[in-house]
Amino acid sequence: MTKKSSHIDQVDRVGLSLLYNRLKNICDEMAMSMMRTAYSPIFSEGLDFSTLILDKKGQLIATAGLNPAMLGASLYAATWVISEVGESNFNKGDVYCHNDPYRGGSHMPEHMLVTPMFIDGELVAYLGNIAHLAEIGGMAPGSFAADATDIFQEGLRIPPVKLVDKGEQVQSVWKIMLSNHRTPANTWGDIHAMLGSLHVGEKRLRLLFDEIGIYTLDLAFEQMIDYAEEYMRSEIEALPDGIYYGEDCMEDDGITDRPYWIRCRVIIDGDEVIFDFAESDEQAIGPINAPYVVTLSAALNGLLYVLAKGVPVNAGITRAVKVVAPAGTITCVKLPGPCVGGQTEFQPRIMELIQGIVMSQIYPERTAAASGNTSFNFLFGGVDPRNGEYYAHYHFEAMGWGGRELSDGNDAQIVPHANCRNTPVEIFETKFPWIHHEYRLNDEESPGVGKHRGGHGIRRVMEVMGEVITVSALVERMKFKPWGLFGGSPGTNAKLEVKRVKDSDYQTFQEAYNLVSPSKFTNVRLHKGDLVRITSPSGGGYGDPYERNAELVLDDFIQGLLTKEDAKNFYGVVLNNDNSLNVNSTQQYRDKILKEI
Amino acid sequence: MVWVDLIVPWHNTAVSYCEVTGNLIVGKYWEFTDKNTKEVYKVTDQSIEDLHYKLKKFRAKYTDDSSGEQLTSVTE
Repeated sequence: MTKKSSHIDQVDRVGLSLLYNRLKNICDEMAMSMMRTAYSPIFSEGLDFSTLILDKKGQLIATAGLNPAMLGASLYAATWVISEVGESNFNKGDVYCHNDPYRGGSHMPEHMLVTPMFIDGELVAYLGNIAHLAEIGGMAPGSFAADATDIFQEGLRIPPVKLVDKGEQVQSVWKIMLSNHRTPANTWGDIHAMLGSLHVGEKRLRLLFDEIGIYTLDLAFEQMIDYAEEYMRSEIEALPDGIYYGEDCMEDDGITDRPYWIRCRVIIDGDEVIFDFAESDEQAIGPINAPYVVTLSAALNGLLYVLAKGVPVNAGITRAVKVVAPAGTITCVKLPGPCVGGQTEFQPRIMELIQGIVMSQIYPERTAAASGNTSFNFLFGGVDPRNGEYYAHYHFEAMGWGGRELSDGNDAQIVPHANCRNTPVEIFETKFPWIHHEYRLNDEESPGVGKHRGGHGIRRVMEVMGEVITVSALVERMKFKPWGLFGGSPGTNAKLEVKRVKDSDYQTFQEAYNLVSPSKFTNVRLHKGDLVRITSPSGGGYGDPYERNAELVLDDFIQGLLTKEDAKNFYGVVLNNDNSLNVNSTQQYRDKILKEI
Repeated sequence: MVWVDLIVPWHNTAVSYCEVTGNLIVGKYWEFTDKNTKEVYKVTDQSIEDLHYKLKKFRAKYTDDSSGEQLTSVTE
């Protein structure tokens, strides 16, 4: 690696690797800055954001990779913003903001900031970040309107506009944004956390440019992209050519009581792959549709889950991959269709369709059964009786992941495509007027059984402490269970129940409020003393449960996750009265069952 | 087969989609005529013209001969 004075043709592979790690570290530091300075738990606890370094064309070079669901937007949104605004309109100190799913965004809560970086007047790179603001207005607190029928009901849509102009805040734009969000103080704080992260990134990247030189670093950017392409092509080429098929569905769209089908043909053709979603259903009336970048993200993530573990995630990974998602289908929503749930519910469904159903036909040992596969979006807002201030929150819930070849599914994790963290009870109760009665693994139902079982979902019971809390939900997997693989059984369904002060027992929100969907509703008013019970889904099992290591079954029993009867019924494992493993009886029982089959 | 500038007044908020992939068209598009059907397509770039013909070839297989495929439906 040398400075620009010596015009080398290429940076060697070791140098590239070192530089790439430096860039990733800058992205990590940007992320840390954002996490530590944000106002909202979705930033500081949930880590629902990504940080980006882009080359001078806006192509993605490096990302902290916190949220894979933002991959499509990370790859495309900045280039589209630059194209729409025009490169010549980017000045030193400018920051553009946008959240438009019809311009490369994933859904409106996720806002992207992009700033150019100049050295001696020359544009050398862009820095960016994408983050989920917890409240952006619209018809429901938390901005997840599960019965929205157009995008205008989902909150404030912002095309690429300058939020900062040559270092000065553009007050008129800020005022429009803050006036339309229910919790403007949080918006102010969280967007400033994003701005701070850009400053940190620019400082560090400037040091790197000073050290390495513009010419060499620019060359390295190109080579990193080429390397990612080469890596992806070599991995794809190793797959058997063919046309593979998989389908799955969204259970409903919150408006109509019918499933929406996603159908995907995966065409492996030499060193390229085509994902053809053309046979999928038409776009839904309700907000479960995906913009193009969400479907792209899902397809790429499904592929990356199985292939190319060491590939640098940058613009090069898309060159060997084509995603066909015709506009007007559920895989590519047309304006003005609603799409807030596309990112959180639709994307994980496609991702697991690719990694599980399709790739299990090619690489069974690298795939996993279905996770609970819902972000379990539970939104609420109201006036906090402790301080008289309006609050709103976007809450996502942990659930069980699917079993896989080498291990059980993880317990109580956020949906795999988002890679976020849960919000601790202490933070939850400090910030919002709820009190928890329970928060634990759901040990009342078995997850999908198999050689490796699915992970457990959670059970959460909360009591309303404010006079009124307005709640909404946009959830999946209440009608169809997460699928198992290779003889593993399905996981369990999600449930969302309420027990009002006047009620004697829990009932679903659908029963209590006469709703179209059990999993998608908006603006239900709960009152002080009402209880909400959240049961998140568990993952599907992988492989024949009679091949499960009996010691693992015993371990689940000891931990209280399985009864003695279920150990025998599900796994053919016999436990003694002293709760030890009866090896001989287990073998005999399993042999007997196998003979009967 | 030609590049065409997408000229949209600043106050027009309409969106254009690639007619093969569904991707967003920004700034300009590649226009081509299908050799057989004579239909005109607006797409994001030249490589999508090749993709169009590839898809025609592969899609013919989906409909003509699905006997060898593994069709996997998942609802429980």
